[in-house]
Amino acid sequence: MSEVTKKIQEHETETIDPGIIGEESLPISSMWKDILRRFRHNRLAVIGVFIMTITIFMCISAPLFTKFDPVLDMQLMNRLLPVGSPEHILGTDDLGRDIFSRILYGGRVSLLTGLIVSIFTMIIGVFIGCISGYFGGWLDNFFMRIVDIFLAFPFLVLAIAIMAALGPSQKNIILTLVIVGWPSFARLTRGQILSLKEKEYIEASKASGFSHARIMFFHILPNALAPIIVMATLRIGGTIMSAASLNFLGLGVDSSLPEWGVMLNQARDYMTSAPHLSIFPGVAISLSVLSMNWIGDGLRDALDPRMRK
Amino acid sequence: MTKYIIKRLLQTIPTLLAISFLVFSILYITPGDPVLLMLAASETSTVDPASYAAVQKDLGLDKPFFVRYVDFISKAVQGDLGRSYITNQKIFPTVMERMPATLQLTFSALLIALLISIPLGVLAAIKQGSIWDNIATFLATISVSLPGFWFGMLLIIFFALNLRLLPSFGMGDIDKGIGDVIRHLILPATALGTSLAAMLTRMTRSSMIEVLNQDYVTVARSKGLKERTVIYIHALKNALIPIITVLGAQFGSLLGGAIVTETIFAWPGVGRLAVNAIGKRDFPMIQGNTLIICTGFIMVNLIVDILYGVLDPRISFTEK
Repeated sequence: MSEVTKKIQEHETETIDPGIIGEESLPISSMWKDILRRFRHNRLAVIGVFIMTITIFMCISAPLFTKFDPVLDMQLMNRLLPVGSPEHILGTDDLGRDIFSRILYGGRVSLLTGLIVSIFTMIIGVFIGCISGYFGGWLDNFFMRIVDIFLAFPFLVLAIAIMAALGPSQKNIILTLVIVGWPSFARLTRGQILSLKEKEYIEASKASGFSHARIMFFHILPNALAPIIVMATLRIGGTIMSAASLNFLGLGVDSSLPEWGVMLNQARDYMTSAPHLSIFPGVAISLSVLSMNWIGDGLRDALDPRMRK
Repeated sequence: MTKYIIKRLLQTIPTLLAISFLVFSILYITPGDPVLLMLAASETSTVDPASYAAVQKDLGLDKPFFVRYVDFISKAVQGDLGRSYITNQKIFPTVMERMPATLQLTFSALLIALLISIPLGVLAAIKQGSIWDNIATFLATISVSLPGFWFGMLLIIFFALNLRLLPSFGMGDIDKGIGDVIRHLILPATALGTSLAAMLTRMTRSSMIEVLNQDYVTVARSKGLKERTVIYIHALKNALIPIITVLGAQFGSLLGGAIVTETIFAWPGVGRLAVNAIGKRDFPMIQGNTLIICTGFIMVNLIVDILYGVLDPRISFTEK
């Protein structure tokens, strides 16, 4: 009995082996496998993922890397220590706080802001874009006029005006950047939906009697997702930069809290005596933005079906 | 052509109205009582109800929202944007007085961006795949990711504080000669223009590569024209068309960036006025400032639209 099953198994494995069938074998790979393969071949994108992973890891587990509290550990006799001081690798700031520690803890704020804003702008923008593009008519007109108005503002100018009204806090920076950011997602999604909704498979799903919501979100949206994902990735980097700009202008968090833009703002008074205060927070911002941009570019190339061989 | 320009001008009116409505509502919902703010600025004693009511009436704050908006708009079109809560100066002249400084900065940044990006982009395109191409593309990706304000700080530390080559703050004095003005402009304009330069380099490169593959370039070459003529006269002119459109949209980010750049370099422009106004919660000033900057942005886009048609005769003005 056991011998029989063994033989059957052997037989089955034999038939699966393409070499024995004698036909030319084609590598079977799923869409996502293809995308991953293309992404991995992009050197800069891989470096981007590498930098981002390290940054996220170091910021999340900041207490493992530094024993200093970013806010409370002020030592006024150790003000403005230079880079490479014992105990303080990157030196200390004007209140004797460890810069390395402030950068790590500040990264939590910056990266989280980037992620939250990107996710919320995407959700709101995609939802409005879907409805606009799918239903058309007055709904489309209404939403797109609103989008036009938002896009008629210079981005940062509108953000600053809203920040002025809401008052300074990191929560308000997130809120502001979501308010200012969703229209570009809505426009992108709408364009994608418009080009897809006339396709035959959508007609088929309509004929099958599926609900509008099901067609919109399960049939059209998955096919429109590639450029949306790319935009969301690039938006994380863009948000880190905009949030840092707003904080740099003093419109954001309380200046005692660690945040990269806030740190640069404080560093302005010490550009002559302690230029290292200005260097490292900027390096941190640039590296995060750069790696997100590389990841985004890599994703764009990987997701673009026209490049598929 | 004239008809088209008039039509585009008329189209900007609803946009401007919508923008003014949005700006007005944003600051309408702002927490905090402007009357108290204004009284606190002028006198330190406790507020008595009579003067409170008088100031409220004076500012028109006792009226309902839409009445106030209509009031605001009808005055705004006559160039009256109200008075500052803090200094009591008229807002329109105060902002316009500072406008030339901001325009000087943004246009210099634009000029620097163009001077860097077009030669670099063309070089990268004609030597596609070479080391020059790689260097240009790599530099472009790096500079796009640099925060402008940080780059500005690095420029100050390096060129102004260490090398003492250029001044780090303020505007030049035209009385001291054009050289002084330019010396003061170099650092802020570079800081502001770099990320635009990076973006335009990438665009010039891809646009140029596309154009160089067109048939008319092959024809121009086969006629025996010099390669230089082919590239700079035949190809570049057409490669620039998409770049001009992007310039209009990017002018907005330059204006936004100018706010930050002006703060670092103590540049006496509109942006610094806005940031100072936010610190003092001077809402009419913020309102007026935002409105004027946005109007300027829309006008620039309008000019670009018209220019676009002049450069590319294929675009018909009569359509639609």
